[in-house]
Amino acid sequence: MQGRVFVVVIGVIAALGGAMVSAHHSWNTVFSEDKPLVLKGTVAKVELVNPHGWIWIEVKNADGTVTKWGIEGGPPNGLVRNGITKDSLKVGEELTVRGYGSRDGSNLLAGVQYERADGKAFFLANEGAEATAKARGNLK
Amino acid sequence: MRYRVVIVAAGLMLSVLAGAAQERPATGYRAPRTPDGYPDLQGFWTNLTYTPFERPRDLASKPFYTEQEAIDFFNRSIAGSQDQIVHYVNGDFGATPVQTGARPNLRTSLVIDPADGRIPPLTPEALKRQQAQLAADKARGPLAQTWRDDRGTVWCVFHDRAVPAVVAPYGSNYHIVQSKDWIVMTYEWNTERRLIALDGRPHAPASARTYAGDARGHWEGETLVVETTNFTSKRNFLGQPGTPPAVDASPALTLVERFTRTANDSILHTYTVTDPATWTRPWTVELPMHRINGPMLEYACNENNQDGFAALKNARLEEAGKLAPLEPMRRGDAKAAIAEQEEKGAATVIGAEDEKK
Amino acid sequence: MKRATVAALLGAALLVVLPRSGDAQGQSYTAPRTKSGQPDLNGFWQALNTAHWDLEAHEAAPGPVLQLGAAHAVPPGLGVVMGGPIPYKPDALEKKNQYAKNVLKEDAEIKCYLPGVPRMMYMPYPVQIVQSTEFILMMSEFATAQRTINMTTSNRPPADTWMGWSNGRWEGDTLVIDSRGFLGSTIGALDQEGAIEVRFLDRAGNYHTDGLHVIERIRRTGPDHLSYEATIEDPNVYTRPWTISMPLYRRVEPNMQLGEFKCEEFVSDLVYGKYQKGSGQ
Repeated sequence: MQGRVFVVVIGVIAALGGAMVSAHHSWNTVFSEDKPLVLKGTVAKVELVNPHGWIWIEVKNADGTVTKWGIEGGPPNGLVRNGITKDSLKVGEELTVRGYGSRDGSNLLAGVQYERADGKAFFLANEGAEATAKARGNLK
Repeated sequence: MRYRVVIVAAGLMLSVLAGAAQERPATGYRAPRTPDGYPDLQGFWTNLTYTPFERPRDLASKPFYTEQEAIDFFNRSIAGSQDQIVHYVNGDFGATPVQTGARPNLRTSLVIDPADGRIPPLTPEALKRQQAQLAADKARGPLAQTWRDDRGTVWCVFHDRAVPAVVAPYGSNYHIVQSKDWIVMTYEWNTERRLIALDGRPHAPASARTYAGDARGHWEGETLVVETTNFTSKRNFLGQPGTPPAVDASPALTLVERFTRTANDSILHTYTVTDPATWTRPWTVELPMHRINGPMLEYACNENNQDGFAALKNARLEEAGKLAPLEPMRRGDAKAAIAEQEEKGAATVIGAEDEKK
Repeated sequence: MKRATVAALLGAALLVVLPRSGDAQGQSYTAPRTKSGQPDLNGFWQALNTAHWDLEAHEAAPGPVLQLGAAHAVPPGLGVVMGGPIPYKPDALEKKNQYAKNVLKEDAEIKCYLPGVPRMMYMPYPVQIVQSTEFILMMSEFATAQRTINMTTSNRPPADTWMGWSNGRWEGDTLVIDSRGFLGSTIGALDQEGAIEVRFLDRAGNYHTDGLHVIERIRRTGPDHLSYEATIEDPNVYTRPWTISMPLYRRVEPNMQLGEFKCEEFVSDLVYGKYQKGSGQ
C-alpha cells in the first residue's frame, strides 16, 4: 500500500511539471536541515511582509539570558485573505516553533510548525489545503 | 497518513468543470458592464492550477481529460501537494493552489498550440544562445557570485512570470482595475503591473523598452485583446520551474492576449507568443482565471531580501571553507519530519521551562 | 490686550489668510465627472517643486557626493510646509539633524526602496491615477511604486507595508484619503547593508516612524491642476500634526504614459557589493 501511494505521488510530480517547486530562493542556501531546532518563547514582534513574514520571539536560555530569534515564515497574503492580521498574534503570548536553523549560526529559524499556548496551530489548519477546500464546498 | 487522496464527489465537480476551459462554442455569457460600458473584468483573480505548462509526452494526442479523469488528476495533485521542500508549509499560510483558488481543468496542459501541447523548437540561433547561457550557469556552479546569480534577488527587479503569464505555485494572482482609457493588471509577486492603454494610441518608440512590455488593448465584443511589444533585451522568457529552460528573445517578440469573462467568477485568458527569430512557430497558452478574495498586499521584495544577503554571504563563507557545502534539498512532509526529529531527540530545544514533576 | 495675545491673534489670522495652493481659481472650478459620477482625477500628475529635496524652505547647498557637482547639488526651495517649520519633538529634531548628515546610508530612496506616502506624490516622477468605483490606483514611475486607495471599504490595515493602507472617500469634490499601517524601517532580520532605520519624507532627513498617519485632500482646481494637501501625524516624532500643500500639474503631452524605472537593478551592486565575489571581503 505504501509503495503504491509512493508511485502515484511520483507520477503526480512528473505530471505537475514542477508546479509544486516553490524555490524563489534556494532555501538551502540560508537554512540547514541538519539543524533542527525547537524554540519556546514569547512573541516580541510580528512582521507580516512579502515575500516572507517574520515572527520575533524572546527565548530564555538555560543560563537565564534572553535571546531574540527571528522566525521566517511564508507570505502573508494567504493569511490575510483568511482573516489573519498583524494583530492575531499578541505580543507577550507564548509560542513554540519547530524548524531549521541558519547555516551561518545567526539567530534565525525557518519556521515549520507553530504552536500557541493552548496547543492550537497558529496559522491555518494542519490539513490546510483540504480544510479550505471542504469549507468552500469544492470537495465532498 | 501522510498522503491522503481525497475523493471528490463527481456531481459537485461537474458544475465546476462546466465553466472550465474547453473547446466548444461560447456559452453566451454576457459580462456586466463597467460604468463606461465595457465588459467588467475587475476584481482579484488567480490562475493557479495543477495543470502542467507542457503536456506530458505520453498524452501528446490527448488534449482533454474526460471529466472523471480531470477530477482524479486534481485529487492526486492535492494529495501530492503535501510533499514539498522542507521549509514553511504552504498550507499553513493559505498558499496552496487549492486554498488560493485552483480548480480542475479538462485540459491536459496549459500550452494548447502546437497540437502536442509543447513549446515548439527554438531556431538554431536561439538554441545556441540558450546553450551558451546554460553552459555559463553550469560553469559558475551553485554558489552565487553576484546578485544576478540569485534567482530570488533577480525576481526583485522583475518577476517574469507576470507576463507572459506562467503559473507560480502561489501568489499567481492579479488585481484588475478599469477606467475608461486604461486597464491596470497588478500581479502579486513583486507587485508587477501592466498598464494597458485602450485609447488607440500607437506603441511607444522602439527604443523605449521595458521588462513588462508596452501594452495596447481594444475590445472585440466580449473580449479584451491586448498586444504587447517592446520587451527589453535584458529579460528572459520561460525558464521557470515546469517550463522549458530560459531563452532571451528578439526585439520583434509580440504577445497577443485575449481575456473573456466566461462566468461571474471566471475569466478565460489565452495568449500567443510570436518571435520567428526565437521559436520556429508561434505558441499559445490557455489559463483559466478564477475569482479570489482580496486584498492583495504589496510585495516589497528588495526591501525585505534577507535571503538574498544570506545566499551571497554564505557563498563567500563556503568559498573560504568556513561553511559546510550546500546539501541538496530534501522533500517530504515538513511537519512530520521536524516532529520526528524532536521525538528522536535529534532537535535542539531552547527555552523549555523546567517541568513540574 | 497683551502684546503677546495680539501677536498670537495676528499670527493666527495670517495662517488663515495665507492662500492654499491653487485656491483662487480652484474654488469655483467644477471638475468633469467619470461615468460613475465622481470628480475625474484620471491622468498623469507631477509636482514641480523641490519638496523631494527638502519639505521646508531652504537655501541651495552642496549635495552628498562631490563628484556629482552641480548635477546633484540641492536647489533652493520656498518650502511646502504650512504655518512654520516642522514641529519636531526636541529629541526627534536631534535625530533628524543626524540623519541629514548621513543620507547616503539612511535615505531609502538611494536603495530604490518604496518611497511611502506622501513622498511618492512629490518625487520628480509622474504619478498616474486610474480611477474605478471600488479602487483608485496611484502609480509612480519610481520603483513601480503603487498605492491602492480603497473607496468602498474602510478597514484597518491587516498588515504594515511600505506604501501604507489607504481608505478614501469623497467630501464634495475633494478626495480625502486616510492612510495608516506604514512600516517604519526595514525588517529586523535584514543585513546591515540593506537596513534603514527610519523612513525619510525627503532627501533632507525629515522622517517618520511606524506611527505615521496621513490624511490627504486632493481636488481638481482646473483642467490641468490638482490641489494636493497632506496632514502628517506621528506622535513618535512631532508634537502635533502638520500639513504640506502644493499644486500637482497634469502631464499634457499626447500619448503620455509611465515609463518603467526599476531602479533596484541599478543599485543592487551597491547594496550587495560587500558580499559579492571579488569585493575583497
